[in-house]
Amino acid sequence: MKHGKMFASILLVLLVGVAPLLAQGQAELEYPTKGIEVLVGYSAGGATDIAARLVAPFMEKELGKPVTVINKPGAGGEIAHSATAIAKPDGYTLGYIHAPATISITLNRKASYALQDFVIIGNVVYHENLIVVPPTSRFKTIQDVLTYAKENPGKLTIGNSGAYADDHLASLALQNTAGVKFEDTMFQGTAPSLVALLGGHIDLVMCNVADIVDKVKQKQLVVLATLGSERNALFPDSPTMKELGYNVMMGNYTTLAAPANTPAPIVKLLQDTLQKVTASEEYVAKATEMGLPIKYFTAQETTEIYKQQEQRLKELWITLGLPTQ
Amino acid sequence: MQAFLQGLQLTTTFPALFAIFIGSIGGIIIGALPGLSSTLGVALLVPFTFGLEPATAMGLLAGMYCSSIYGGSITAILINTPGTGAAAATVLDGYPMTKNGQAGKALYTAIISSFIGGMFGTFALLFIAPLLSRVALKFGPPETFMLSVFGLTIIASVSSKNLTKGIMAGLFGLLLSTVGFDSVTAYPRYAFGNIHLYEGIALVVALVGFFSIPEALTLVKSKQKKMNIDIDLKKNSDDNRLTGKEILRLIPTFLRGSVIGTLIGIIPGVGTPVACFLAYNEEKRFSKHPHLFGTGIIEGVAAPETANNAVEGGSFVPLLTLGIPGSSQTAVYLGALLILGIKPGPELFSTQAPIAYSIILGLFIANIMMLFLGLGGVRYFVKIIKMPNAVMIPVILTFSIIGAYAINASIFDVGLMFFLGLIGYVMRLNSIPIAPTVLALILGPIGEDAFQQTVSITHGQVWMIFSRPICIVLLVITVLSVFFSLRKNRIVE
Repeated sequence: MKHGKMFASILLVLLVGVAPLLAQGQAELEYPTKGIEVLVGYSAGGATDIAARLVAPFMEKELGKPVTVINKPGAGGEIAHSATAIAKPDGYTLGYIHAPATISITLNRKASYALQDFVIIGNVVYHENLIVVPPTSRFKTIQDVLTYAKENPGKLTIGNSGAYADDHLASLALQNTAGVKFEDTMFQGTAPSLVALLGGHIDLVMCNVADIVDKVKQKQLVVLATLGSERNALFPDSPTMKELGYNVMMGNYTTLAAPANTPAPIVKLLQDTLQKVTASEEYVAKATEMGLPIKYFTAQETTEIYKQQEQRLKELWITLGLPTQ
Repeated sequence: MQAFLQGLQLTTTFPALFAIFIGSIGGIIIGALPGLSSTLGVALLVPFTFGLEPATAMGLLAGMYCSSIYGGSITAILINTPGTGAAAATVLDGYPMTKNGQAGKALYTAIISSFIGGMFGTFALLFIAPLLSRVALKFGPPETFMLSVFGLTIIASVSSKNLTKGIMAGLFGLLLSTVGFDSVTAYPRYAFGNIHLYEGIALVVALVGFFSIPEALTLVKSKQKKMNIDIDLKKNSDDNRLTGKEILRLIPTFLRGSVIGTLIGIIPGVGTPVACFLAYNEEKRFSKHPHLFGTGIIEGVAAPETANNAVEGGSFVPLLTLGIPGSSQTAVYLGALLILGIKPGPELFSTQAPIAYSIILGLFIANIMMLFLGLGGVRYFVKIIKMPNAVMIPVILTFSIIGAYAINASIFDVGLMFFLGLIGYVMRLNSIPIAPTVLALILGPIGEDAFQQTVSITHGQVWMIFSRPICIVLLVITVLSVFFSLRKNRIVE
C-alpha cells in the first residue's frame, strides 16, 4: 500500500514535470539539478587530467552545479571510455575521448565500446605531432632525414610513446606517405624516449607539442617538421609536412563527449557552455600559463574530424596490414 | 653563491619550514600504511601546492617524498608488511630482527640509514648533477636490459636456503610480469579478455597481496592474542638502540648503499625497489658472514634503507638538468613545477637559480626533519606490535583493501590482491620465499621493455650491445654473480 502511494506520487511528479515540456516543446531545461562527473582515462597529473581540471571549474561556474573530474586509468583509456559509453545518458556522466587513441583502440582490438557510443560536446586541446632531434644531430632538416631514409631503409630509429599511440601512428602515416621506412622504437611515454634521444641511442623522436616546448626554448631539441595543417606559432621556422608536399597530418585531440543517447537539449546546453567557457579570457590566460595547447573546435567540426580520422586510420590499418583482433 | 644564499633564504621562511614539517609527518604515515605508495602521497599533495610560494610548495612535496620512502620501513620491520615498494627488501632482515626482540634496533638502523642515504643523494645532486646527468644519458636501453639481467641474479641472495625454490618463485614473478599489453604489438597477454588486466598487475597490488594478506592469515591462525615479543625499550636496551660501535661497523654499508642508490636514481625508469634489492645483494656479497643475512642483522636493514633514500637525490638529476622525470615521483613533481611556472631544464640553474637551489635545500631540510621525527617516533612505532591480533588483523586488511583500490580506483584490483594473497599464503606454508617473486615482478617489465628497445635500435643484432663498455661490465658481474652463488650453494649443501 505504502509502495503504491509512493509510486503514484512519483508518477504524478513525473507527469507534472513532463507535461509543460510536452506542451511548450522548448521549455526551460531542468538540468543540471545535481553534480556532473567527468571521466578521464589517465592518472591524475597527466596531460588529459590537467586539461579536464582546467575546464571543470569554468563549466561549474556556468552550470551552477559541481563538475567533478574522476580518474579511471587503465587499459590505455579503454576503461574510462567504456564507462562513459555505457553510463546513463542523462548528462550527469561525461568523459574525455581522444583522436586518434580512442579510435585506434577499436581498430587494434575487440574494444568494449564503439565510436558511435559517444556524442561530442566539443574539442578542448589539440596538439600536432612533430619530429625532434638534438641540436647536435647530423640531420638539420627533414629533407636530410627523408633522403637518408630513402637510401637506407629501416636504418633510422624513431622513438615514440607506445605502440599505436598518436605519435606511433603519426610516424607510420608519415612513412607511408613519404615512402620511407623507419625503425619504430617503443617507449613507455615520451620522457624515456627523449632521454634515449639525448643520449644518442636513437635518431629521432615523434612526440606532441606540449612535451617539448620548453626543451626547444632551452635549445635542447630542434623541431625538424610538424604534422599540423599550418605552421605552429611556437616554432615558426619548422615547416609542416604538408607544405613540403606530403599530405600527412596527425595530432592528438582531447575531446569532451557524452553517452550517445543523451537528450538533445542537454547536449546542446553542454555544447554552448563549453563554447562560452573556452572563449573566456580568464580560461585562455590560465591555459597559457600552464602551457596547455588549447584549441576549441565546435561539436560539428570535431565530429567531422573524428569521422575523417577514423577513415584515414582504417586505410592505414589496411595499407600497412596492422594487427587486428 | 649568491643564488645559493637566496635559495637558502627562500627555504628557511616559516611557511616553507612548516610545509616541510607537515609533508614529513604525512610522509611517514602514508609510507607506513601498506598500499599507500610515496607516488600516491606526492600526487595527493599536488592540489594543495596551488597558490603557494614555489619554495613552500616544493618543501611540502620534498617532506612527503623523503619521509614516505622511510616510512615504508616501519611496517616492514614491525609487521612484515612493506608500506611501499621501497621497503620490499627491508622486510628480509627487518622482520627477523623484530622476531629476535630487536625491533628498536631495527627501527633506529632504518632511520639513521635513511638519513645518511638521503643526505648523500642530495649532496650528489647539489655538487655533481651535471656529471651524473651525462652518466644517465650513457645508460640506453641495452644498458638497462643488462642491468635488469644482473638484477635477476639477486634471486640467489634473497632465496633464503633453498635456491631451487627461489628460482621457482622468481620464474613465477616473471610470468606474472608478462600479464598485460605487449609493448610492441599492444596485444593484451594473459588478460583473458578482462580489461582490468590489460595494463598488467600493479606493483602495489602485488606487494599488498603477497605480504599483508599472508601475514594477516598467519596471525589469524596463531593462537596467541598478540605477538609474543617482549618490547621494552628500557629493559633490554642494547637490543633496542644502535650503539656507536655498530654505527662505525655500518659505515662501509652506508657508503655502498648511498652510491648504489644515487646511481640507480639517475637512471630513468629503473626505480627505488631495484636499488634496494641491489644494495642488499651487494651488502651480502661484501659481507664476511653472508649466511647471517635473512636471520636479522643490521646490515640487511641498513643497506636497502640507505639506498632507497639515496635514490631521491639521484632521481632529481634528470628532472633538474634535463627537464625529464626519471621516476614516477619526479613525474608528479614535474607537473607541480609546471603549474608553478617553473621550467626545469639545463637553463634552470642560470635563469631561476635561487628556486633551483631552494628545491635542493628543501630536500636537505626534509631529510633532517625526517631524522628527528624518526628518532623520536621509534618508541611510539614499537607500540604497533603490542596491538592485540583482534585489532591488528582488521587494520592490516582494511589498509590493504584501501591501498589496492586506490591505485586504479578499481574494485577488480581488490579481488586480485586477495587472490595473490592466497597464493602468497600457500607459498609461505611451503616455505617458498616471496622476495624472488616480487623482485622478478619489478624487474620483468623493465627488462622486457629494454630488451624490445634494444632489438629495435640494434636492428635485431642484439649481440652488438657488447660493443658498449657498460654492457660488458654488467655482463661480467652477472656471470661472476651466478658463478659465486652457485658455488656458495654447493658449499652449503
